[in-house]
Amino acid sequence: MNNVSVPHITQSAADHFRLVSASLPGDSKVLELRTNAMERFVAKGFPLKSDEEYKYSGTEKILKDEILWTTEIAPERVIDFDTIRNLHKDALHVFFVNGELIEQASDINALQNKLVICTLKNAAYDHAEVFNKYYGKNVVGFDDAFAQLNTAMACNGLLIHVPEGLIIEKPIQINHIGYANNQSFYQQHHLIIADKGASVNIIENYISNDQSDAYFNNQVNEIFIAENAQVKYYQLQNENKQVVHINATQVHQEQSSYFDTNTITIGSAWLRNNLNIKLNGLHCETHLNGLQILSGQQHVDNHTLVDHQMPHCNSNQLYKGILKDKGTGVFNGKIFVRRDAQKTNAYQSSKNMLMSDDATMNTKPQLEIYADDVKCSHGSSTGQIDKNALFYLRSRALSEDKARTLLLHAFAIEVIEKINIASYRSYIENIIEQRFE
Amino acid sequence: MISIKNLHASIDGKEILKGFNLEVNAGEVHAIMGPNGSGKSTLASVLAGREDYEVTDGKVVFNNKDLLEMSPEDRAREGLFLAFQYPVEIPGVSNINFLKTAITEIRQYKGLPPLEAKDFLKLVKDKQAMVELQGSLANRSVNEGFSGGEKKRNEIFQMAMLEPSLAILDETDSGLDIDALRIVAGGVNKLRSSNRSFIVITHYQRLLDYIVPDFVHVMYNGQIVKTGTKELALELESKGYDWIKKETEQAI
Ligand SMILES: Nc1ncnc2c1ncn2[C@@H]1O[C@H](COP(=O)(O)OP(=O)(O)OP(=O)(O)O)[C@@H](O)[C@H]1O
Ligand SMILES: [Mg+2]
Repeated sequence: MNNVSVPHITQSAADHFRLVSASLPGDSKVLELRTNAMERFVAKGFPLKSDEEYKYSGTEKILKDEILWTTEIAPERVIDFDTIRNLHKDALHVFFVNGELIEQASDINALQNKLVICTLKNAAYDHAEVFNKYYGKNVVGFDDAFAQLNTAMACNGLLIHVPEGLIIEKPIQINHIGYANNQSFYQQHHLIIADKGASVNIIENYISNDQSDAYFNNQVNEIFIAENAQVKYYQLQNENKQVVHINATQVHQEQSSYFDTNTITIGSAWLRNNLNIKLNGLHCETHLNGLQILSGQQHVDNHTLVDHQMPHCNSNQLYKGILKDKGTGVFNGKIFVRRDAQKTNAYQSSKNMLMSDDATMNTKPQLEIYADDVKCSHGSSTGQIDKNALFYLRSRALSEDKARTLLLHAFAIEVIEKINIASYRSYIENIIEQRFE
Repeated sequence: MISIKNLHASIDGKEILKGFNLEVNAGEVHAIMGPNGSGKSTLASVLAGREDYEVTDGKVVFNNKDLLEMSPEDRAREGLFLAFQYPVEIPGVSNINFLKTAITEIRQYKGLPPLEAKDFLKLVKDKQAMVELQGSLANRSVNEGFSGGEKKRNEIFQMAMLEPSLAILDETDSGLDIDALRIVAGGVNKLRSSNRSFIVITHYQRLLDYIVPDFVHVMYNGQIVKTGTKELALELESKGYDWIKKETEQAI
């Protein structure tokens, strides 16, 4: 895994792109955008430690000698879709295996007919206008090698288009099941579009089919939220501890829109989340919450950027981490308040608990404020479990393990409580509970 | 019930308990008074099993078992309860859930099955009424945002729930208003029985008007330096501690 020649892999991506570019979804404009993205990726290369944005997450250690740019579904693998469904019965389920939609297992046909939900490949034909209009537009300004690479090459993923005024009550749970082999690098790209006054709740559930598969998952989500529309977007990142996962969520909000996201990270060997929220209208509201529980040698890096471009918007961020063993965590949160964005309220908080001497947490809050009439704050803390509380509970007959579990649960619950879908919240609580034992 | 012999304990290399002796029999109430810093809370912490303290000498036998060998949770399961001078706030941990876990652990230790949900709820209701603790407090996070007096009352509520055989109350009266003091003392009196003992640490004689002790001890410089009955508390109230300090120093 180590000592790889990074330019060699960059070149292999470019070669593969040249081979397949003509067949990728989208019209000639989209192809041009893809080609530009590829050029930017090649110019930047995979980010190394020397890159300020990847200071704690240089990819030197995780890149492999050889990368396969396409993955296949091996027919002998049996996936138990029903078990996944039964864990969260109140949702509509969509299944991807190694990045490919499994249509017969998914609820796509049961959806309300005005709601569009289809693969990118189909979207480029059946909903060409929408696809060509939105694809890649939220990534253009984001100078990140992985996001550019994905935007250039992605042919899998979903278009979810909620037309004006449509309110989808049932959450749509997108399950990603990976079992690709060690060289696989799979990339999905979702377009989620909520038109005026529309509302949709989306859950992404990342799991691995078994514990030994190691693969690279590089995903981009573009979310467009029109006037008065609302999107809740929740992720459970629970792949096995061999997986490398990179996730970029690019959100564009228009006037009086609402966005709420919650990222629960318990899986993967190495994981990076980029969340970039652009508040492009008056009276937008946006909530970013995250919880990471790391053990072994897991590395998780949450990068957020909330860009307040217009007045009277509110943003709130709460990120919490529990780090055991040799886990390492990063929180880098940037709040950008532009000159015109008066009456902004922007808050950010990062709280972390180190459960061992070998665990590390790096936090870097950044506020850049160019307007003068705003309320902004940030805070971060990293500490250990409260010894006095632990003793108090033990003195009331609780075993040390029980007491610890109770305290960790209490620490984590603040983030979990912010999940605004009741059935999903209890599903998460069950999963999290097992991590404390 | 408990026999403490020649107990020496130190923290960060500083000796705080310097040969402490005390015998408490079943059903007795012992009051411990003494100037600030004499080691009363240290004694309570050492008995409850706080690991910050190093016991350098002595022996403590509780219900015929070596107390100092036990983990804090096992001491609690054996029937020891400490009402803290400064109860901690634990946001996110619900009072009721935690008590349910505590009772289950104690019962399990004794080989008993967990309480049925309805029996547990009845117990909560009864004990809450006993210490006149508002229902909303019992359902909140442990001590979070409680007033000083509410925290103390919550300690007594927990004591009533756990039904210990030996309860150590560390300045439970401080911070209580006059009505609360009467209620808390009433709660303690209801729990008094021939097989339950109390060690009541206090600065004020007033509490002992309500909870009448069998013995009053004065602790000074890590030891008991004087023992009497409830009249001793009255004497201390009027004369202060100077005369005892002098007596002690002369004796040395
Ligand atoms: N970590 C520590 N390092 C050094 N000395 C300590 C430490 N903790 C407590 N002490 C000292 O131990 C002594 C006894 O403290 P303790 O709290 O037991 O007294 P107390 O009798 O309960 O007093 P009060 O009546 O004020 O509650 C005090 O002098 C205190 O300063
Ligand atoms: Mg004290």
